[in-house]
Amino acid sequence: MIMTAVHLGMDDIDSPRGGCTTHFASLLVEVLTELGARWLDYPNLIRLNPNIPYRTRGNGAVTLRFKIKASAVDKVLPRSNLLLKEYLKEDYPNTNPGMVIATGEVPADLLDFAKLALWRTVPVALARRLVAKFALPHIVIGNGRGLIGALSAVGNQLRQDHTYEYIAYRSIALTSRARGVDVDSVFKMNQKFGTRLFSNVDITTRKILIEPHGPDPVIYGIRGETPLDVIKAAKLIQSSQDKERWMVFRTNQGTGEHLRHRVRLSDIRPYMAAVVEGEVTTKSKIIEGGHVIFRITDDSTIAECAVYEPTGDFREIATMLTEGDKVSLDVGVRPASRMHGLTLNVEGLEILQLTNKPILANPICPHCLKRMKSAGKEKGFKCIKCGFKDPQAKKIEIPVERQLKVDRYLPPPRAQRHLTRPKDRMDRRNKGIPNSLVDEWHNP
Amino acid sequence: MLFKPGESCEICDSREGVLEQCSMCGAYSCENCRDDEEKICLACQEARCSICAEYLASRACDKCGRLVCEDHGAKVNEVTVCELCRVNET
Repeated sequence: MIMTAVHLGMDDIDSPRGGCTTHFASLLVEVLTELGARWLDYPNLIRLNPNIPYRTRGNGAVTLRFKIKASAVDKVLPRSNLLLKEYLKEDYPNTNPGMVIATGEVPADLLDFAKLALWRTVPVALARRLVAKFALPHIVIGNGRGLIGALSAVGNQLRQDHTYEYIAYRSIALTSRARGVDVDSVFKMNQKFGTRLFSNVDITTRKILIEPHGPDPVIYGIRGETPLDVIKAAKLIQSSQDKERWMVFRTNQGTGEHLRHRVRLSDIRPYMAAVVEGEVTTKSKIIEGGHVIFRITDDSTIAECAVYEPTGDFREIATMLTEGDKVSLDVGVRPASRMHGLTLNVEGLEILQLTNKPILANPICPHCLKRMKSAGKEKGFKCIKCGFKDPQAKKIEIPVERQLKVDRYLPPPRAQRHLTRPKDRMDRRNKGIPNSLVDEWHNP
Repeated sequence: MLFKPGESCEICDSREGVLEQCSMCGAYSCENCRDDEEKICLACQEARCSICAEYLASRACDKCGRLVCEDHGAKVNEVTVCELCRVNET
């Protein structure tokens, strides 16, 4: 029997009013298994550039990779389309689903396209050009933006670092009710599994991060290093709503995959996800709303940087930066408006060098140990307490003790992007496509 | 990896033809990836504010899906409402 490898990418099958691309994928896995699909990989959940304004929630797309009888390949897209039509909430105009199929080896052009979509904006026109060039069967609804994520998900095979997420779903009929995830059970799970899980809780505020807040079918999602870790961890979670289904995804979450490009400040473009390096030119200041603003320069230009109030302690770090500090920043570029120019929204900060510029102060009186006052221009200093005068005295340098140290700083987990590489994962890399899948990675 | 603009089209990576800078974002693009009449790249053409078209969008309206700049879409209680939807509501 001749089997064909199929990569089925999909995106934008959701909206702020409900639905979710990963939930749709879990339904589709059931349909395709019935059609005879043999799974080559866990469903891939690919997060794309988080700075794109037309994303819904986390800008995530999904690819299903499987082998199927060559004679059944033609049935894959029509069956998927049937399910898509049943699933869509057609009352929301900003949902523009896209699905695409590639068979055999994924073309190199798609790998490049996927890399671009991690850190830049990609026009629909380019996606349409690629689909035409390789004659890829596809479904497009609305303005076609879903095609961008669908192609990117096919192209990103997670050959470098990757992580896993276990997602539990409730019935679509119950999406308006509270999920009721038990906080204590999440913290117990987190303690038991330690660094094998990541970004599931915010210790400082004792907030759980596994439970979304929108009207979507996800009850919770647990992020971890291996499929078995997340499956075992999920068994410890209690919630008031019942799981209708669950599935494990292999993802680029927690890998920092969007921050692979170093960019000079003069080459910054709107919506970019980039790493920039420079010297702080103004002491940071706090503006209305509690956000922190400062400027940096490299040898090309000056740029304004913003650290937002919800980032908590990370914002405090930014307030301690001063002129002359050398920093490397992970940024998302906010486009210019009538009120401001391009702004670099800081999502990670590495202090490369702290300035030790001393403070200049008046000298101390040698008799009464009080600070002296200026006796006039080029007349030295005098003590107003004892009358001592020293015409040769000059201002003294007092070294400043900085509270910061050369290090890498991140916002707390509650304010991090899905793609942010958390501190626990700084030295960890999961490499390669898995050779085999665990026995039970989805239900039903 | 250091980003070196100007060597190839920033959208499709083509090195053929004349690369020109987009008047909105500054990206270098080839003739297939720009609108020569408007002198902007296709990425900006799709991401402009759908009300004023003068600035790039910073968000999408949660009611109608329009992309809007900061002047034409306000975020209130985590919900973005564009100027047109706001006027229609009142």
